[in-house]
This record gives sequence, structure tokens and C-alpha cells, in this order.
Amino acid sequence: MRVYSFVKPKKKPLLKEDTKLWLIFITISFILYISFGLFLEIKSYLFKKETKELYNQTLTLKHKIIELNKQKEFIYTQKALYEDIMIKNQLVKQQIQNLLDLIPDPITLEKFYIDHNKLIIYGITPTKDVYNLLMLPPLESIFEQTITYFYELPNGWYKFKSENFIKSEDENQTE
Amino acid sequence: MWLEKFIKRNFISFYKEENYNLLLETVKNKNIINSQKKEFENKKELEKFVIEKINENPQTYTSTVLLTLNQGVINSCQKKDYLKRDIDYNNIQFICINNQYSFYTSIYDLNKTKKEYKFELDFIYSIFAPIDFLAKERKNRFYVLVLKEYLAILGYEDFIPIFSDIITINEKEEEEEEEHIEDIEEIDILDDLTENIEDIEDLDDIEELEEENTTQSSSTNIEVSLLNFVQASLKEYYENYSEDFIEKIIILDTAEISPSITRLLEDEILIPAEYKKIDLLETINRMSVESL
Repeated sequence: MRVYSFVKPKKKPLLKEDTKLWLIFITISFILYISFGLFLEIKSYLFKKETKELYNQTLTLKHKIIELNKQKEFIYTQKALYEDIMIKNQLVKQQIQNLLDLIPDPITLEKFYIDHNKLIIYGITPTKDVYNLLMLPPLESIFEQTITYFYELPNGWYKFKSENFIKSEDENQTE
Repeated sequence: MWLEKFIKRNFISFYKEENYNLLLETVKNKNIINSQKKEFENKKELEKFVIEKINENPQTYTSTVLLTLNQGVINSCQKKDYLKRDIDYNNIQFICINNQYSFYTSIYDLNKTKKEYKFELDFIYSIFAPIDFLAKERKNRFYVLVLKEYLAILGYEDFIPIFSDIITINEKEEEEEEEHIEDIEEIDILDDLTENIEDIEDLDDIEELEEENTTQSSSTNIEVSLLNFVQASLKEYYENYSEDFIEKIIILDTAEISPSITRLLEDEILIPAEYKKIDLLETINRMSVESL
């Protein structure tokens, strides 16, 4: 390439000043559009992620509610059982109190055994009559069947075993 | 830059003769996609048009050629060779081509041309540069560029231009040219020219040319000036520049002279001549496109 000119051309801008301005504005707008689009995309992604997490949390909470309901049921059952036991204990306590009230002064109580539908009493009585007069009548009024066994001690007193039965509800129903 | 392939560039070339002749070419990837020729009577109109085009497209390059007498070519780029030819090295600007030869012009003329217009000139060429750009045959050839008001000649010896001259055709300029010749003490050449003009007027060929041509007087004037100019140049060339004979004269015409000028030259100078019609403005634009 031969260059013949006495002067060299100055470097010229490719675009006019106003075209440059337009291009800058268009580029800025384009960048803003893309940024806004990206922002929306990221926001949407985060929302989706959050929704998924919330859904998972809901599922976990539902499972927890089921677990808690089960625990609640168990606690209610335990509570009912506790109350039942408490009532029964109260009853037993009352029964023991009643039983102890039944024992007249001359008679000594050695031990007793209370079951669901029977009461077995071991004790010492000075005479059979004392027993038959003071102790047997209340027992017979309470229990349906009363069987007493005596055993004479060397000092002339008697050891006794009193077996007292009441018919259970099941037995009543079968009858 | 890859983007430049897609950018449209305007190349405006112009020069002043009677009027301002201008060519605007729109170029994309070195291909011309649009061209527009204009002629302006005054400088203001030209400036208005060019500034308008520069404002429309910042990629607008303006080019012109120097049509001053203080320019030429020498077969060297060295200062000592300029000094040998009595050229004031400090007051010229030159452009070296292929490190073999250089075109020079006066700094004063160059600066005057630079400041002459309200717009900036991107390329300023010597009038001999388009001739060199177009010159395909470069072995003992004379190229004569014919403009309406100027004649420029470039002589090649051995593929390198070693001789150049430019004259104005109108009378006023001719007087100046005569004074210039007197300066270099070549009055005898002027006498030869005058004699030659008288000879040519007697020739039948010239009469035929005059009949055919619509712009008779001006065309004849150019042709006569051309013949005289070539004869004088040949004389000076053989005397001061080279001993090799010029084998061919090639006329590069922009002024629409008759192609039969070759016959006239062949008859008078006895050297084969060739006529080529060229568009100087197109050539200047091509040079500018190639320069970028």
C-alpha cells in the first residue's frame, strides 16, 4: 500500500455524538431490562425455594402434629389410668380403713389379704364367741360368703382365718 | 477493527478549476455503494455541502490535490538529493514512496490549502500522485495529465518517476509560467513552442479536430498547449534528467480532449502515444480508500 498524502487523516469517530448518546441510553436501558429480568428470575427462584421449604416445613409440622396427637392420646390414657388408680387406691384405702374399723378391740389382726372379690383375714381372738359376736356379723353383712377357720393356741386363744367372698360383676352377669 | 467492515464511509474528493468539482462516494468494506458528482461555483457552497456531509456521517474523509506550481518529484528521499537539485529542503514537505522516490510541495502552499476551507482536509495529494497511482507501464514513459486549466507531466525512467512539471493553460497563468521559465533561463524553449504552434495551425489534422469538437477553441487551446508542453518537457528531460529515450507518451485525459491527440503527438514528436480517459476525482478517492 502506497500512501501519497502529505497529511495524515485524524482518527474519526465511528458514530455521531447523538448516535453515541442514543446507543449509551439504549445500552443502559438494555442492561436495566436484563438486570430487572434477572432480579425477577432470582426473586422467583427464591420464592419457589421458600415455598418448597415451607411446604416441607408444613409436612414436618403435620407429622409432628400427628406425633403430638399420639402423645396426647397416650397422656390422656395415662391420665385416665392414673385417675382410675387413684380412685381405686382411695377405695382400697377406704376399704382398709373400714376393715380396720371392723376389728373389735379384743381381736388382734395379724395380716389380711384383699383381692378383687375376696378378703382373707388372719388374726387372734380370745374366744370363738368374741369373734362370732363382734366380728362375724359385719363381715356377713358385707360379703356374700364367709368361711372361718379356727386354730387353738396353747394359751387357749384362737388363731383364725376368715375367707370372705363377694360375687364379681362377671359372675353376676353369668347368673 | 472488525466493525469497520460494516461502517459506511464517505469519501469526498474535490479540486478547483473553473468551478469546484466534487465527487462524493459512499464506501462500505472498500466497495463503492453510492456516488454523487457535484459542481459548485463558489467555495461557500462547497464548504456548506462538505460540512453537511461530515455532520451526517463522522466517517467522512475529504481529499484534494494541489494544483500549485511549486511541487514535483525526485528520485530519492534523501536531503542531499534535494539540495543537489537546488530545492530548499527547509521549506518543502515531501512524502516518500517505497523509499525510492518522493513527491514534494512547498510548505507555504500546503498550509495555505489546509487553511483554505472551513472543514479539515484528510488527504492532500500532489497532482503527480494520481498519475503515479495510475501508472502501470513504468519503463521510459511520459504520462501527461490533462485538466481544463492545467497540464501535469510525469516522466519515468526505470520504473521510477524522475521528472515532473506542471503548467497552467489559461493566458494569465501562461504568462506566469513564462516568467517561471525565464527564471530558469529556458527562453529558447519558449521560442520553440511559439514556432511549433504556428506549424500546428497549418496542419490538416488539427483543422479536422477543430471541426469535430464542439468546444473548439478551448479544446484546441489545450491540445496546442499539450503538444508544446510535451515537446518542452522532452527537451528538458533529455538535457537534464536522462539519456534513455522515452518510448511512449500516455495521455490521461480529464478535460474531454479529442482522442486523436495521439496522432498529433505521434506525427510531431515521433513517439507512440496512448489516450486514456480518466476520472481524477475517482482516482483521488481510490487513493484515499487505499490509504486507510
